[in-house]
Amino acid sequence: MRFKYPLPRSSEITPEALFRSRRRFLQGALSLSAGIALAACLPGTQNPAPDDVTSLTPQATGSADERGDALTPFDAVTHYNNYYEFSADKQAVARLARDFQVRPWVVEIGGLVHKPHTIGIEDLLRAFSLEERIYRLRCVEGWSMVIPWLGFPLHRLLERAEPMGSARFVRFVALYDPEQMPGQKNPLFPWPYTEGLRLDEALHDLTILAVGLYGQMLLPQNGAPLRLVVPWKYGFKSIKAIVRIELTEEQPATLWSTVAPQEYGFYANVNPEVPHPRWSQATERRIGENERRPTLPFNGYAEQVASLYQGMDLSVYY
Amino acid sequence: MARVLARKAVEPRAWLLWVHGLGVAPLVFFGIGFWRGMYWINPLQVAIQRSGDAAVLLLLASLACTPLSWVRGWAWFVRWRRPLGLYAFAYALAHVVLYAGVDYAWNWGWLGAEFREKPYLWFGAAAFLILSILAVTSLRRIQRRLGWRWKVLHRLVYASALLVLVHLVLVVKGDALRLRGDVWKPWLVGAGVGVLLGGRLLRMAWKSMKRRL
Repeated sequence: MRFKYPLPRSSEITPEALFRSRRRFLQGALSLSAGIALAACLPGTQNPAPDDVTSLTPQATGSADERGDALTPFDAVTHYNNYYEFSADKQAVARLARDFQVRPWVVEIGGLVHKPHTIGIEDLLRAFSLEERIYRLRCVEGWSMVIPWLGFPLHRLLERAEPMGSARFVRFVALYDPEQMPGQKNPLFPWPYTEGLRLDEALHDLTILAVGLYGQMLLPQNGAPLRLVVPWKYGFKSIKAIVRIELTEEQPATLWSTVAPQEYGFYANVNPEVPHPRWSQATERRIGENERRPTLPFNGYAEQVASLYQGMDLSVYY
Repeated sequence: MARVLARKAVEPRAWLLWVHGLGVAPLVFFGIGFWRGMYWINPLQVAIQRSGDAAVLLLLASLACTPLSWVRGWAWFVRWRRPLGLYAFAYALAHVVLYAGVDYAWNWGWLGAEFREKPYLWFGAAAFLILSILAVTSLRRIQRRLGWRWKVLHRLVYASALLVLVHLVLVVKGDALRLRGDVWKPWLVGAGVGVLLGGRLLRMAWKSMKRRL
């Protein structure tokens, strides 16, 4: 079961972006001469090497998502962060995370897999070709953004580890380092941050591990060096600064569903029909917009993911 | 009578300045933050949360005046109650207007759906209703006309504080009762309301005991 990633409309693709990067320029020039200029812009067809994504100017190949929603400005994406490991104040995270050490960084892949292993972040960047994915991000607080991520589908990493037949869930664990992450000194949260997905959700092509956004490496406040992005779920599912990925048979406990189980479910699919005790899920405020807009089922990815939940009562499995 | 006069004599002349300083301070802090560009990304969310915080703090400050006036020489604190309470109401009004009017653009369909689903809104709205009644009846003319009933009516301010506390318990991310999550605010406000209301109740009990003796 493979789903196609919804491509941005060709009219939304900014040709200038091609010319900003030398390598992309060369690729683009070749493609242009071959009369297939568009191909260079399609996610998956260009494979920037790791050093290619450290360019200083934020850039994305597209300027809108597949629905035509404009990208949220880079400054907003990098200065409005729900990252409790640093602070509950979203606009304080960027400052507090400035000196966060993202190298060396090792990710452990274990649990119910035939090939458990650890992999350094550099090797990870070499092993998987990066692609740009323009996704909507819907926070459970009722605001949303459109972000051009750089990353690779999680299933590529999981398939390399060869999950056992008994594996049914994937558990993600973030770094625990209170010296670097002052928010972790708050004893009211069961640190470290943990999250989980059902295996079929984790293997879905929309689920990616991101290492960058806007054409450059992730900044610490956005979850550097490695974070999950699951666009049809509320933002808190997309765990940041991952150090361990573990396949399990039992549904793993997650931080927010441990803190407040009646509010934060394991599935946390964006769903305007299921009320949340505090924040509206029927409408949302897109950052940069003045009026609220209706929230879409599965955050607008229903066509790709609704079949995963067939026969499930989503007001029970919220 | 002589004692009351003696107390009044030491009332600081600049007390109005202090009261208004206290009342305007949250707005000034918000203005500075806004001016420094700290809230531009989602200003409305910050404005709604900060106006609510300011209303709660000023309500507690207003409630603190009565116990403070018990201290010898501090009787003039009683006069701070009304302005501080009115400031609390002003911030609560801003909180409600920002939420319903600006965020939800007075969209009654959306607001109705919100109201059906979210119990914290019921408690917040009830607290706001009480504060509105108290603000209107704080006019001197109405105060005089109500006579002894005014005093009883204005004891409702404690009910308002308790409703606000429930509003806060339900609105934070986490579970305040199990001490899980981002729950320091309801605990802080709970402690404040507990001390202030408890203090008044204890004094009432103490006085009635003395009377009987």
